[in-house]
Order: sequence, then structure tokens, then C-alpha cells
Amino acid sequence: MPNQKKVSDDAFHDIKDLFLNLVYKLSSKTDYSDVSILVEKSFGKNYRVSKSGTIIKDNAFATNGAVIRLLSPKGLYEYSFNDFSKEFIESIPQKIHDKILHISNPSKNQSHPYKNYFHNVDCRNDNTICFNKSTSYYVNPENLSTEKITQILTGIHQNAMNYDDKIIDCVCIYQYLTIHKLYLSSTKDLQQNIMWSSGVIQPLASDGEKTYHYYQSFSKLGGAELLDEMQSDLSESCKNAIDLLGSTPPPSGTYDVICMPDVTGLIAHEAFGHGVEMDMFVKDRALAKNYIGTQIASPLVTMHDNASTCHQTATYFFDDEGTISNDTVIIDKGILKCGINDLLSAEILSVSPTGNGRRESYERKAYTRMTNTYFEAGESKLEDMIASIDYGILLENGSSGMEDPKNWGIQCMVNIGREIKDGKLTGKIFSPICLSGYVPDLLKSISMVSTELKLSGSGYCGKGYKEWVKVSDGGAAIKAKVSIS
Amino acid sequence: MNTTNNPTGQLLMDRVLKCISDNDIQNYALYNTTTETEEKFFIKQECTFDRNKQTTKCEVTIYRDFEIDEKKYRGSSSFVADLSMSEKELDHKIKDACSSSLYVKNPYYPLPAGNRMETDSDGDKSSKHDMVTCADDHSSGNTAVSEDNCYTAGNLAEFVFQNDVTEDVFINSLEIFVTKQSVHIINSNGINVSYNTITYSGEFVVQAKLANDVELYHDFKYSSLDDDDIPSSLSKLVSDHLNAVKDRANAIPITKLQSDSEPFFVNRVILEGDSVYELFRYYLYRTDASMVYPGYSHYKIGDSCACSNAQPITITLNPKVPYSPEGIRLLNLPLISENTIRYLTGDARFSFYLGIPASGTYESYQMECGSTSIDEMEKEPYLKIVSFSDFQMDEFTGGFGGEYRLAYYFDGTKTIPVTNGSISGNILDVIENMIFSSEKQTSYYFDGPLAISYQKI
Repeated sequence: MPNQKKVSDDAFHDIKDLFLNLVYKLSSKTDYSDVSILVEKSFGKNYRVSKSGTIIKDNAFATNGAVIRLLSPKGLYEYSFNDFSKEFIESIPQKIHDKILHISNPSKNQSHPYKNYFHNVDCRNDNTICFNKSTSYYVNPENLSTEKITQILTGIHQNAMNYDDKIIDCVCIYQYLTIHKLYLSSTKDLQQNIMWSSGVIQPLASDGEKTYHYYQSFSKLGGAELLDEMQSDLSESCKNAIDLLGSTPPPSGTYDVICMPDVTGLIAHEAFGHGVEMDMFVKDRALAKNYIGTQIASPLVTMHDNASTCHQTATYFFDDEGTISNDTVIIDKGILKCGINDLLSAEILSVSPTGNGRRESYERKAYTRMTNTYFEAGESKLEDMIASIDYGILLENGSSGMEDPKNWGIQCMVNIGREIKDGKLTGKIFSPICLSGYVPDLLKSISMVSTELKLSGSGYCGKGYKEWVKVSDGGAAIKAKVSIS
Repeated sequence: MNTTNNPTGQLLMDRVLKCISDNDIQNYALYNTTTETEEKFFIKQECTFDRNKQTTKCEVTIYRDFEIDEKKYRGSSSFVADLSMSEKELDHKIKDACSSSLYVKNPYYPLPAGNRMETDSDGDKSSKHDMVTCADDHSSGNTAVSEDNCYTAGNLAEFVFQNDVTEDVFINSLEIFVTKQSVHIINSNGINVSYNTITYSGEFVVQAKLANDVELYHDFKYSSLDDDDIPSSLSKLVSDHLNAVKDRANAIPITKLQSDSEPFFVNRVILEGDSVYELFRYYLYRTDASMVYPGYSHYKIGDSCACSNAQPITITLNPKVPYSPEGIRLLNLPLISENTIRYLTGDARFSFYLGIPASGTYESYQMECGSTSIDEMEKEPYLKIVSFSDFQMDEFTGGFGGEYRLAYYFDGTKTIPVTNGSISGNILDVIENMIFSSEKQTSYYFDGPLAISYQKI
């Protein structure tokens, strides 16, 4: 393994003064207050090898641009742009003036909720905060040749294709992103430089009629050293894809289940992650706000949203509103302790900011968003958990979910359900599985938690149906009771 | 934005073309977009946030041809250029894409050629977007979308709030995006086309504080170029959802029905609304060349996609923009006529591999309605699902399902609003006995039956 290195921290060397001047100019206008700017320069690539061929393109989150936020007499306002020429940046104050002048609202809706209390938002600390921090990596993907990366992915693809004739394809993806963000305001001068990598191996099996796939994911805060992990044994993934060909949907009902860490993570994310996003508290869209301090889960459940210390894809030093990141304990031994928030929600609700104000990119508004969300590990052994079930299903390979913070409903789609009878796996496979239910019922039903904690950050999270951000989630294996159809 | 002139878009494109020329690159494609938005965010009827965006980007694809063992390959690599990049950064990106493309060993295929709009003699060339999106061949002069009749985000908010008049059933929150975009596509094989669009999109949440405190979510999208009467369509959409959320407030969890003394059994499922669009997208996926070429789908032109006694499926592709990202003219294509597959769609690469004309890829479609009214469907006991948390269709397996937030259960005598249940199934299993409603729904992406019903397997 090569030596660990830090992501370079000079991305804004040539242009920082332009943005400092812009913040200064806007701040000196008497009409505006609380001026800040977030500048983003992110680059990275996505390599994909499959039977369809090879694709090399930018990582979908690679982006360059900036967003200005300020409080104007007409309310809170943002302007996003990606022209960094001196001429354009110097023209921005006039552009913002013109845009704000033309803001019109339905006649009866002129009042503005931030007007009364937003003025102190960025000045709560007298001290100016200034840093430039970087995460580490072992192998910089930029320095690894395209030939090497495509060779590794092609090798993985070929191994899967050789496994069995029923494997008709294997999609192999490696992607990385190097993120440089600069946040400037009257009290903050922050820069962060972060690199994450993620990978997917997805064998597809077909019997000529239907096609099933299994999804194996890899992720870390770091670089192309992830490719070493991806070159592991594929036989389990290929076997799972082939086994799915003989699967049937499960009979609808309520089951004792063992959720493997990826499904536990999906539940943590959908069940209570979205449920405690405090911008939903502000809109009266989340039931959780009425339950702070109460028992909403089994005492075995402790849940974190942790942007600051995980080696995963949603780790950062400050969020997109310049708030320093945190490890927030949301549920402590079954008691709902607090939610996560963006700066504006924290201000309205008079609580401390947790550093969860995130944007899809500089082009979008910041919302309260999760980061690395997980249940803590417990003390049970997985084999004892399976042995404790008379009839039930072991759930693995979660694919997607949808939140319902207002009514505490949950929906998770899971790819594989393995039948458990008399404490043993029978070999029978159910698919697809739609897990649903009432969140507190599910969380209170958790009766065993395994010792192994695992996070996965290959996926993305949307707010409703848009605003995609990189997240990771996970936990240990849990035993619970859920509705399945 | 004055969409007639796009100087920043041209500036970026000129910079990229110069860099391509300096690096002596022969084959390339550029997809250049300049976007301006006006965005508003409301909590109840109070505007809490205003945003504007102005960006210009250019997706650059570099192609390189090479031979190995006398077989021709065409490698490619792409990246997004933007106005924040210095000349040095742009040059580095282009050099990197150029060298990377040598390791992309895809069999050779030609790029779409310029002046190839008339590739499909069956296509409807007088399609709606020809008249209204004002797209035209770039060399013959670009026609702008008229901004005279455009709505502002404030206008749209007025339409949404028109029917929001009660205290216990109301709009909880609203987001509105007015997006003006200029698109210019060129490639090294003569493609040079451009068009302008204005879209109005957003989402609203309706809330009812009645027997229960509940909400329903809905998103919307319109084009200034559609025939829709946007003010009345948006107001009606809101009104319908305000009524629906009232029902959700009075709905009982489906599990309560199951625990009653009388046995609970649902034989017939009716899906109404957005899920119908998502369900039949299965056929768009399965007829896409990128699914056929690797063998995920075995559909061929002339195949039947359903058994003969199934209700005939007729799907016509209905593009909302005039060109694909590769600059291929998009047409109103009859994809499936009475269960028979008439076209496979796809981009230039996969279409060439399959030996079919490149038609581009499509998201929006029209589907023929059936002859059975929803009233007829509702004569027998049913579970009618009108709002899902997230209806999902798996394009590989045909599996579909989701948790529903509002459904109506009819037991033969009374109709009960229900919630907190879920369904799953497979379109291949249920298509045989599926019935399409005679009533129609129209949205940005879909024009087809308002409802479908099927016998539960």
C-alpha cells in the first residue's frame, strides 16, 4: 500500500480574491445583509464496463460554480452562476439588484418568515473561523491511467461472464469525485478538499424470459485503492443473481425478519433519517417533532447521522451553508433525542445548527439532508438471530425506499428475501419484496442487533423526488417484525 | 432570458471548438446548454425564498477510431466544460478525454449526420413540437420561443393558490421553477441544431387536518409550448389533490379491514393516475436498443408484446423536445400498434449495432385508451390505488409495486378510503387480463388511460 496523502488544497488559489471582493461589495450595500458565497470546483470520473461496452465520462456530481446568498428587503435570496470571468463576477451586484427588483409574489403573500430573525444567522460567533482542510487517500485516481482502471473493470466483468452461461452481463462501475468547496462570509473563510470513491458490481442473470440482477457495492472516503477491494470473489454475487431466477414473490403478511446491514441502513435512512430532517418540522411535515424525548424505538436502537468522523462518501468538514459538521445522535437507546437541520431551520426552531444544510450542487437550494446515517452495533451473533426465528425471512440487497415523515409510513424495496424455517435458511428465495409499515412499530419491534457495523455509500438520496446528494447508510444486522408484500 | 441570442453559450462553444481544433481532434460532439431559472419556495402561502440561476455548460464527447486485429473500434470519452474553466483547464480536459477514449473498445459506429431529419418516413413530421417549440435547423436561423405569453413563478403561485381557501385542508408547501433553456448541438459529422424551451415545473404538498393530520405530495411540469391551459390545469390539479387529501384524512389503515370478522380479499386492482405512466414505461425500456443489444430484452420489430387475448396496447412516442442529445430529430413514432412492436428506439451507437435507424431516446408517450369506463370497472369489488409513496417498475423483471398512501376499497356495497398498504406484481403476469379505462389523463410525460385494472394473480 502506498503512503497516505492529502487531497490538494490550492484549488482556489487564483480566483479566491475575486469572490472575497464580491462578498465585500455586496455586504457594503445597505440593502443587503448576511452575504455569503459557496464556490465549488469538483471533478471526477465515472468508468463503466459492461457487455454494452465501455463508458468514460464525468462523475455526475462533478461541477463548477458558485452560489451567493443574502438577505434583501424582499427576503432571502440566492443567485447561482458558473461564469468565473472577472467581467461577469464584477457584473453580479447589478444582476442581483435587477433580479430582486423584479421579484413579485401573489399580492397577499408579501411577508417573509426569515425577516425577523435571520439577521443574526451568520454572526452568532464573534470569532472569525478560518481553515483549509483535506481528507486523505492512498492512490490518486487522477494518477492512475485509464488503461489500468478499464483493465481492472474489464477483468471483473470477464470473471463474472465466465461464471455461468446464465450470467448474461455484469455491469462494473468505478467512480471517484474530488470536491473543493470554499465558503466565504463576514465571519467565515472555510475551504475543504475531499475525495471519495465508490464502485458497483452488478451481475445479471437471465433464463430467456426474465432478467434478475444482484447488486454489490463498495465505497470509501479515499481514492482508487477501492479497486483492490472490488477485485474480490464474485461467485457469491453471481450465484445470487442466478438464484433469483427461481424466486417467487412472498405471500403478503407480517414476518419476523433479519435485515442485513444494507437493509438496516435503508430502514435507518427512510424510517427515521428523513423523519428528523428539521426543515420538515418547520413545514409541519414531520411527526417526529412531537416526540422529542420520548421512546420511539427499542432500547437496542441508537442512531447517528455523522458527517464528521466516518470514512464514507458523505463526510465533510462543513456543510453547504458553512456550518461545521457534526456527529448527531438522533436516537439514544430508543429515545428520540434530536433532529438534524440546515441553518434556516435551526434559526426558526431556535436550536443549534447540526451542519446538515446540503445542496445537490451550487445550482440548487440547500435543504436539511442526511450524511452518513446508521444504527450502532449490538451484541448478538447473526447465527443466533437466525436460529431464534421459527418462520421468517432474511432480507438483503436493499434497492430503494421512500419516506413519509408526516405519517411515519415506510416503504423499502428489497431484492432478496431468504426463507427461514425452524431457525435455518431453507434456500428458498423471495423477490421482489416491498417492506412497509408504521415506523415506530418497526423500530420498537427490533429485538436483536448484531455486532458487525457496516456502512455503504454507493447510493444517492433524494428529497422527495429530486435534489440528489451522496449519502451512506448502514448499521448492524437487526431482527424485527415487518409487513411484507 | 432572451432566448433568441445566446452569447454566453456561443462563447463557450467557440472556446471548446478552438481547443478541439488546437488538439487536432477529428471526431467530436457538443451539447451546449444555457439555462436561466426563476425559483420560488413557499411555506403555506408565504414565499420564504427566491432564487435565480444563470449557467452555461457544454458536454463534450471526443471520439477516436482505432483498429485491433483488423477490427475497427470507436472509443469515446466525455466531460462537461463550463465558463468557470480556464483555457489551461479546458485543454487538459480535452487532452485527457482524447487519451482516455483509446481505452474504450467499443465496436465502430458512425455519428449522426447533419441534415438527416427525414430518416423516418412513417414519422409524423407535423408533430406538435415542430409548430410550438420553434426548433429549427441552426443554419437556417433559430426561432425564439416567444416570451410575451410566458408566466412568471409569481403567476404560477397565483394559479396554485386559487383553490387554497380553507383552513383545515390547504397547501402545506410549494416549490416553483420557471426554466428557460437554449440548447445547441453540433458534431463533427454535420449536425448543427438548436432549440429553446421554457418549462414550468414544481411540486406541492397538500395537507388536511381533519380526523387525521395527513398530507399528499404531487409534482407537475408544463411546457409553454403545450396546448394546455396552464392556469386552469394547475388550479384543477391542486383542487383534485385537496379533495384527495381529505379522503386520506378519513382513510383507515388497510390492516384494520383485515382484522374485521369478515374475511378481506382483494381480487381486482385499479391503478389510477401517475402509476399508469410508470407501469407502461416498461415497454419503452424493453424496446430501447441499449436494452436489446446486450440481451436484457429480446424484443424485435414485428414481435407481439402481449398475448392475443390481452387488450391491445398501442403506444406512440411523443417527444417534448425536437432533438435528442446527439442531435437526432425526434418524431412522433408509433412504437407499439395493437400489441405489435413497430420500432426499436435508441441512440446512434446501439442503433447501428442492431442495424436499425437511430431514432433517439424518449421519455414521454401517448397510449390509446380502452373502451371501459371507470364506472364499469368499479361495478365489482376492487382496490383502487390513486396515490403511492413511490411506485416502482423494474425494467429488467417487469416487477412493480409500492406502498400506497390513498386507495379506495369497494367490497360490493360500500367504498372505504384506505391507506398504509402495499401491492406488488409483475406486468408480464397481469397484462393478459388488464383493462384500460376510456377516460384519459394528460400530463407532460403521458397522454393515456386515466386508470387500468387487472385481476390479482
